Amino acid sequence: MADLEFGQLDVRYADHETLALGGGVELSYEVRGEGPAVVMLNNFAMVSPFWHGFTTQLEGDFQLINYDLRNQGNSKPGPEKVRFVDHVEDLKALLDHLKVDRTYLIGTSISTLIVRDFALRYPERVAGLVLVGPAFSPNGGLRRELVTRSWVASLDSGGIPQFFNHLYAMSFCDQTINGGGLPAYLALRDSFASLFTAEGIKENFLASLELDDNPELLSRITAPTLLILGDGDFSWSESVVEDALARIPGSRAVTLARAGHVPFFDDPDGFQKATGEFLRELVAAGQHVPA
Amino acid sequence: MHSPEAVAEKLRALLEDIVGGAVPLDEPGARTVPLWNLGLTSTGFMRLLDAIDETFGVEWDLLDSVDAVSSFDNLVAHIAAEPDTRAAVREGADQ
Repeated sequence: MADLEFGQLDVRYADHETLALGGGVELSYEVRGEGPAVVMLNNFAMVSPFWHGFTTQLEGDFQLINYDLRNQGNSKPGPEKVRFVDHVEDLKALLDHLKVDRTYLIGTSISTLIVRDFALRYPERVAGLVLVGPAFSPNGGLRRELVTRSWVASLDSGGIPQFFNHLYAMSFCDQTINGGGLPAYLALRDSFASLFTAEGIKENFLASLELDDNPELLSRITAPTLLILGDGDFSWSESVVEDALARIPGSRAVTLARAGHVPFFDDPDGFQKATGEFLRELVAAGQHVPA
Repeated sequence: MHSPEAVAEKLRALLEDIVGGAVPLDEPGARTVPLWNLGLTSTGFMRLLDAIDETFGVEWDLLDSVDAVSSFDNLVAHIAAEPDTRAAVREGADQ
């Protein structure tokens, strides 16, 4: 299908399959296209089918794998409290199940930290990273903790409606918010309230506070890395990008104008162009994965 | 005939046109749940807002609209309360 305009979401799970991980945990996943494997990880405020609208230009060259984290969308969390490391191990289980030995990984916001930790634990499984609007900072974790706690406070005080207002104002850039106007805001608000629960999102955010934000960990990444930022991202400035490039070996960055913290929403074409050029370059340079 | 019932009838027709079929408004509780539960996607939601604007002359503002669009019944109440809407519905009924 054609790429969607801002405010429009694809939530069709028609081609998703289920991987049972034991203990009642299930992952809902989807595989599209053919070529080297690319796994796309949701942040805490999206579900797997959303990726359809942001990746149509990549389908021709890559095998695209998207899935819901264990306590969102069509996946099931099981009875135990979710830990952040569960998301890292779930990714490994999914790759094992799909017999994908090596892959490219795309993370957005908080899932850039799932990607980071996976790349540190299993470097042999990773051929390249695309980190979109990372939740981490190359300078430390205090800001992320403060932001996370403010989101949890919104959930506690006003549930999904208040959290959504908070999230919306921070996630999208000025041009997108004002260009979409009330119709886009109201449409996404209605969808969001129907797709997510306050309890599920809060559990995920609290689990993310377990993370080690030591920026030195970024220096240990060995896979080629592309950072994609929006110039309207609330936590990234030009100088912070410079700090990140100095911190992550073999990294480069693309900043998309008129885009925010989740720039594939604001600029699907720019996101796919940057991602496609980077991945195709890696393939050509021999950083490929078995097709 | 400028009653909420007349607004509800027109709104139902708009909704079914956008969804592409019947919506289960006669089921218990269906009129008080989010429109998503009636089969309205985000794309359809944006089309519905446009259609309401065109049909009833409703202008949206942030504070009112958040509650107004939270269910079918709330939408009907909001539209029926608009002075221009009453005129539009009356004209339609007179034709």
